[in-house]
Amino acid sequence: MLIVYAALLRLYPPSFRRSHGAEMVQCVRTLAGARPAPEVLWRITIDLLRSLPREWWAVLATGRGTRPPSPQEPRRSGEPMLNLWRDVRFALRLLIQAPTFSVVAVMTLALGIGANTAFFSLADATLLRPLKIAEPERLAVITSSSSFLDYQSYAQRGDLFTAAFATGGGRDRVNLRVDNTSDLAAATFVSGNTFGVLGVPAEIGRVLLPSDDTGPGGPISGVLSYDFWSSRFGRDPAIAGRAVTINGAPITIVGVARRGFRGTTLTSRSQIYLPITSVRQVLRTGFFASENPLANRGFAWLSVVGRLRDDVTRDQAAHALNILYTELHPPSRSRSRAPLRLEPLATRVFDRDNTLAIRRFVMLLVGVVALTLLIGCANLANLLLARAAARQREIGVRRALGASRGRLVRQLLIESLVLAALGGAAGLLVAHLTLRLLSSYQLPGGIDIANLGLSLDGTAVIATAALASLTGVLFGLAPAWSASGGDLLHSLRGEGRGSSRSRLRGSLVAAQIALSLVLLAGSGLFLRSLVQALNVPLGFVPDRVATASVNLGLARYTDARASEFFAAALESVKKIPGVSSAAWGTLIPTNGSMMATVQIEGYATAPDEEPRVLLSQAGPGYFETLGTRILNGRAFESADGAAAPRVALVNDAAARKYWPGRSPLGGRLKMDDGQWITVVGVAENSTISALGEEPFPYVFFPFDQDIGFGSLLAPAHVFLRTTGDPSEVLAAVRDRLRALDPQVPVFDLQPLTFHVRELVLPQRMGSVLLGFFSLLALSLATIGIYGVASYVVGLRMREIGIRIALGADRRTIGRLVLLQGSLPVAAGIVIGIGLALWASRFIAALVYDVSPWDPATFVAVTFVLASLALAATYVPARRAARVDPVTALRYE
Amino acid sequence: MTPKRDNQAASFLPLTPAIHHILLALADQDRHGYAIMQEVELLTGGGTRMGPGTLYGTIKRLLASGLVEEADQRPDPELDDERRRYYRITKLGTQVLEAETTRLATLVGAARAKKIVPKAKRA
Repeated sequence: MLIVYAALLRLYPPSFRRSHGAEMVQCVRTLAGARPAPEVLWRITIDLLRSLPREWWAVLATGRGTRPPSPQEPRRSGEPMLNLWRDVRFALRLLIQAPTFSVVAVMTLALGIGANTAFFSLADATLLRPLKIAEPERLAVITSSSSFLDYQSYAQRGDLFTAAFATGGGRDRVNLRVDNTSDLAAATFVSGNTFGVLGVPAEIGRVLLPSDDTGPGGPISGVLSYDFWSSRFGRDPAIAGRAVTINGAPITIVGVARRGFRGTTLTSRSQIYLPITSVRQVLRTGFFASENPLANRGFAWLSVVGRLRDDVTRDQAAHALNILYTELHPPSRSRSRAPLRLEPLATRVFDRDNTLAIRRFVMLLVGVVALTLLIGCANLANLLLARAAARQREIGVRRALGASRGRLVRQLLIESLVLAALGGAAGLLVAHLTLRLLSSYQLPGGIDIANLGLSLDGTAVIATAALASLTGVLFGLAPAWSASGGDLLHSLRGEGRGSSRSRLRGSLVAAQIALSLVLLAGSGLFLRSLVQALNVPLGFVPDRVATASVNLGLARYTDARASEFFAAALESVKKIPGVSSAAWGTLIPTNGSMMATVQIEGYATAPDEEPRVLLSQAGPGYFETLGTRILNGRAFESADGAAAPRVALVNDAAARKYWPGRSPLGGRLKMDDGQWITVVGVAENSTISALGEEPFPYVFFPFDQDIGFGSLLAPAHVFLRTTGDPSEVLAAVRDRLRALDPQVPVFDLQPLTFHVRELVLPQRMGSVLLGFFSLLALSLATIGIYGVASYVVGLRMREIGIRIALGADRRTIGRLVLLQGSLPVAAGIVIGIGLALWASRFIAALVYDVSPWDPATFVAVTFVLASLALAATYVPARRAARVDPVTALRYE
Repeated sequence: MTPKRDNQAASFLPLTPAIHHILLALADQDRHGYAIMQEVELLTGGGTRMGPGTLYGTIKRLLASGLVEEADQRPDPELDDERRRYYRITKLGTQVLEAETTRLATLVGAARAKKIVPKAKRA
């Protein structure tokens, strides 16, 4: 530790080091003997950070360095500022004179600072402080759903919670009618105290209050989210008091929630908040139609969040709640239940399935940009060292003319700071652009980054700018170091101490190569994985298919009217130019599925086995439109109507599992309603929710036959195969569906490829971003290698000239330079492969069907790097080989 | 004390915490660097842990402005044969310390009068 500290002392101004350095080392020695090592380390680090700038400032502010200003001596006001301004102008002139250097250095800084700041903002919005609410750490959520009556019982436990609120139905889409136009909006039902407990104020008007929890039949108040208020109402300042209807129920909008508030999770995109007590008037389908969700203690649909009292831990509260639950729900023999648990609300901001994926993904992004920043810093250091070498003579001249060392250091410091300031300013621009770029992407789980409301974080800007400037300052001072190293004659002749500096530059190049290799290997893995993923057969052909969705239930249709609508709509959209076929279905492929238990004729179930299948309904032409092959039998036809005999298609997996060794055609299966359904065809397996998933038994039923499982009044999707670009027909589809009935909400008009793209999102984003940053790293590294090689050649020009004059073979000289230039490259590659092998574990979970140690990727990446490095050294090597001895000997 | 000297001492006020602590540490006896660090830690109840850079940076400033001077070098009793520089507070330093103490006492008195500072806890 003492050796390290003694080395670190060199960072202080020399005058200070001379007068107190020995004492300081002694002090640390005594300290290290008396205190535990971690404490000493910590103390020294903090101390260095605090005292270094002060001592340097003391030296630079006076420009003399030996004596600090004493209070007795009045400061010569004005003059130092004048000098400062002169130095800044001089620095700017120098930068303009060397435009290549300046542009590369500023860009390096800008990209490092900008990208890091932007991605830090993303990490902040998702991992660090996802909820923009007051004191989120005391908020705990009950992991299982609760009924309204249970919620009321929990909320009364003042001994556990200072307050508790409940939310439900975050994904319910409702039909919002404003002045005769219908829109689909996402509604969340919340208890009246929710906004109060979360500490979320209103942007305009008011938020919901406990007094809004009126009984059934009372007036209903609604609060809009800020984003919905902006997008749907154009930030109408007179929104409060506006009357609208939601699913036919009259609602009064009372206000808009504060900007940035997105509920208690990032996955819900709530647009309207309604009181829980209004749920029966608003949601009249499904369970909400048959049961009174407010009076049935068994109907658990709410998520309950409590603000824990300061003296109560989560475990204590969970224990007490379990006792209460058992009192409220006497245990029955048939059902066992998992105990209630409480979790911090912040850990539940994403879907449970996605939390880990998002965490990994964001960490990966942050890691990648941090690596880029490091590479950038190494490159900047290299550039500055090269410049230092070039300026050695200039500085020697200045010293010879009487410039003090402090004055020179100050000049160089200001040059570095000017560079850093320019880089920082450009970095802000880069950060802004990066955020804009990020906003068009999604996180795993379909969370739009645009919805997170990212903004630049001041701390991150300062931290990254400080790191980059520190690099600039440390290496920018190098010429002052060597220039004051004593031998004025040498520096005047331009024969500085080259060897130690070129070793330093060599290691910087090696570091750059190693880090670039890590990034390159990562992007290579993602790219291979993406190619792999795109080549997985999906079981349908998504290109040139458009989809649109409707929800007739929200428009209060009856089954009979719904059938008419579907038939008329299909006729209408088929006539759109460019549509070659169309069909209805109840599920969009890759968006998951419904599952049911069926009984299969002739299939002997094992004890405890319940044959489960995934299912959906499909109209005539469905398989043709989607491009799913029928392996056996027939597809649905228009004859398979509501009154026709019940039929079904099964997928290959179901056929193999439930009709092993025989044809399922003519086989029968039975659902809950007890009617036998005949299998008339077998379709190929298709992707249901994830690439490369194990095919699961799947049964298709005709769209027009009621299977008592999701009705005509649930969301339905029309699929259109087009002859051209599917996104071109979307507007026409919307118009035609609206023309049939303006009350029917039409939504999610997309090409089918949009949904498929979500499946490969991690690979896509991974390859795009990693690809971008590794290209950046690669170009920086190439610049670095070239710089070092030509620097070395420049240094040895005289020597090479002498060798050639004495008869050395030119090719040998070229090879020598090439070999020397390749040494740091080789070292970097070896280190880089090791690092990349170690680091690839972090992306193992994100790449599909590719080993994180994929040899092909590593070989390819090494090859690319090595050949680039060779090319970058070749140019200076050629120059060395062609040296004219006479010129070289005169070369200075 | 002549008014002139008073003015000179006042020109140093208010003291930065580091300067204040070091002057206090030297008020009763001469100490070497590490001993100052220890004394400061003791004085502040462990609240201030100076590092060598801050310590010697401040000492350098104190030497330059004449508040502290170097005492003789003496062997360190804890370490055989190591000669250490000892520091001593000057007359001016003592005056500055007194002035700062008076200044702070006035402030504390004012705060007490407004019932802001609690009376000393249990003795």
